[in-house]
Amino acid sequence: MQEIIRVQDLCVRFFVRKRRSSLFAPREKAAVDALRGVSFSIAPGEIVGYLGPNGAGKSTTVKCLSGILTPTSGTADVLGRVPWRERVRHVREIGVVFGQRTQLWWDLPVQDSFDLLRDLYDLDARAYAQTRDRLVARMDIGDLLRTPVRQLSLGQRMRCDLVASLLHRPRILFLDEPTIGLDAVSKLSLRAFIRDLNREQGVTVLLTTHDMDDVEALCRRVLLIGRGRLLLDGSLDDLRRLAGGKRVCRAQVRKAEFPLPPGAALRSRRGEEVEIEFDPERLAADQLVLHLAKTAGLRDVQIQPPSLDETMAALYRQMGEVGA
Amino acid sequence: MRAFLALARTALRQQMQYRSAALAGVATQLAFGFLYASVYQAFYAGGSGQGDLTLAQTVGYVWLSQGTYRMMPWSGLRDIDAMMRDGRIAFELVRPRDLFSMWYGRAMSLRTAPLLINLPLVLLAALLLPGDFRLRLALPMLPLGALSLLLGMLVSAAMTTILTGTYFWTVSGQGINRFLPMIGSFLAGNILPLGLLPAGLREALRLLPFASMLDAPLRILIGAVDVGAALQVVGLQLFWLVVLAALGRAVVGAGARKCMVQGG
Repeated sequence: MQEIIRVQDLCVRFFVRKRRSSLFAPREKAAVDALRGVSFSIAPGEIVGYLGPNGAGKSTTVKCLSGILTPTSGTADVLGRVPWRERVRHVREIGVVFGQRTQLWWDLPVQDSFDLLRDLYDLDARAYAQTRDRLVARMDIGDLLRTPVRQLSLGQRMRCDLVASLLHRPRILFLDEPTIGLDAVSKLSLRAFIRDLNREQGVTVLLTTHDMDDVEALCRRVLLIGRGRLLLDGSLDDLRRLAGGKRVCRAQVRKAEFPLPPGAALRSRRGEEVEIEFDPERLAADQLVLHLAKTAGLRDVQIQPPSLDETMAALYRQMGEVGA
Repeated sequence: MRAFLALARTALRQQMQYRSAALAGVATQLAFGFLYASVYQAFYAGGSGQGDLTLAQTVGYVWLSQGTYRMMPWSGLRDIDAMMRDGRIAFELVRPRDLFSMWYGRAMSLRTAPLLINLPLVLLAALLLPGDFRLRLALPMLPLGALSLLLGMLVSAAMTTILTGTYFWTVSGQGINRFLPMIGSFLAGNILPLGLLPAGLREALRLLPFASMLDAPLRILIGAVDVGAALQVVGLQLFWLVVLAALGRAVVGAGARKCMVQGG
């Protein structure tokens, strides 16, 4: 299939000024490499999760792909254009949501922001009204249109922001942490909306998030970056394998003390509930269960892959980037 | 064009949210107008008039400069400054528009909105005042004066856009917001009518872009220049409008290119 986004060897280097050691010392500049040769491509209609710890270069990539930032070297081709060279034509075909920031006009009613966007994008009045009404109905924000943006709750604002990013019917949607700070209901409805948008209209989505439930619900493919490099391009299972493919055994045991076979480690114990982490390559699950039955007085057992959050934490620890 | 007007209209609507502040401003400006007019009456009664303005013209100048007080480029676009600090500037860059035109549209309404409130009220008040306090407009010069006022607003909006463009290089726009307007308002004739300055100085200052924002339309409206000179003044305003708009486009363009939206 023809790719809709192709990125090759993208590098971005920032210069950060350091504080002078004394007033007369020359100003020092430190180079920070936000991206060091990232390459990937995305086919039309995909939803791709773009993951990595804080400071890994996720937002930088999104900024390059939306034409806001010119990379130091490397190329990108989005819908046949280089985003930062043909910014004005490029941005007509993409929608962008930055979860931490709003694109609506703070003091104005939501409706006014939508109308202003209609004029900024030169939208045909009738097509605009249709798109808007459909989105407003789907996102259930009809009652909010006359409310000034500053009076909206975060969940309401996010729904309006998402509608605002889709009024010009973009073919690609960049979502940068769209569910940050939202309550469970808002998160679920936002995810359902994104899924439908992708299925019904074939909008390609690049989703940046730290919420692994978003990823699990929406993405079949993930890209993982760390320190400006692409570390993985694959499925969620690939991600788990990369993290070491550990399994978690949650068991109820009667005995307070019992030995564990090599390849297994006790993670936590609360009363009779224990959590044991084991490596299926070194210790088969049935061996572990058998062992627990013999030595620990096993009552109940569940074996699961670790949650995605745990997987990511393990990965980030491997990358030595926690807290970076 | 539609987008340009829509932005201007939106900014105008945002401005109009602060109507009571604007009305309070009018009261202040009336009070200052009286003060200045009294001072100049004393000045003309006691001193030897060195400037090229009569007392009636100076009083007219005072009232008009009170009415156009907020047309001066007192700052760049503050919401853009805020956007640069918190990163919302990214959204300005994902619009299919040229940044300079978007900001110029907003600057225009920022400079026009207060004019729509202040000027009629101050004019009305001044026209009703008795004797030496009254504003006397040169009626035959009114069309040229109105054109010149419009050009003054456009030059001021261009300067506003340049100021906004400089925010790309500074952490906060507060520095330049405080510094340049204070000097500019003197150079424009807002603090002291340029006509009262020594001849050489006032002729030099009138060539600068700041005089094109305020001194130019005011002189025409109070009839301190004849038609020929007024046309020259308007020509100079056009020149500065073209130059400042080109400079603004260059500054905003260069800023946008080097802009690297941080954080997130």
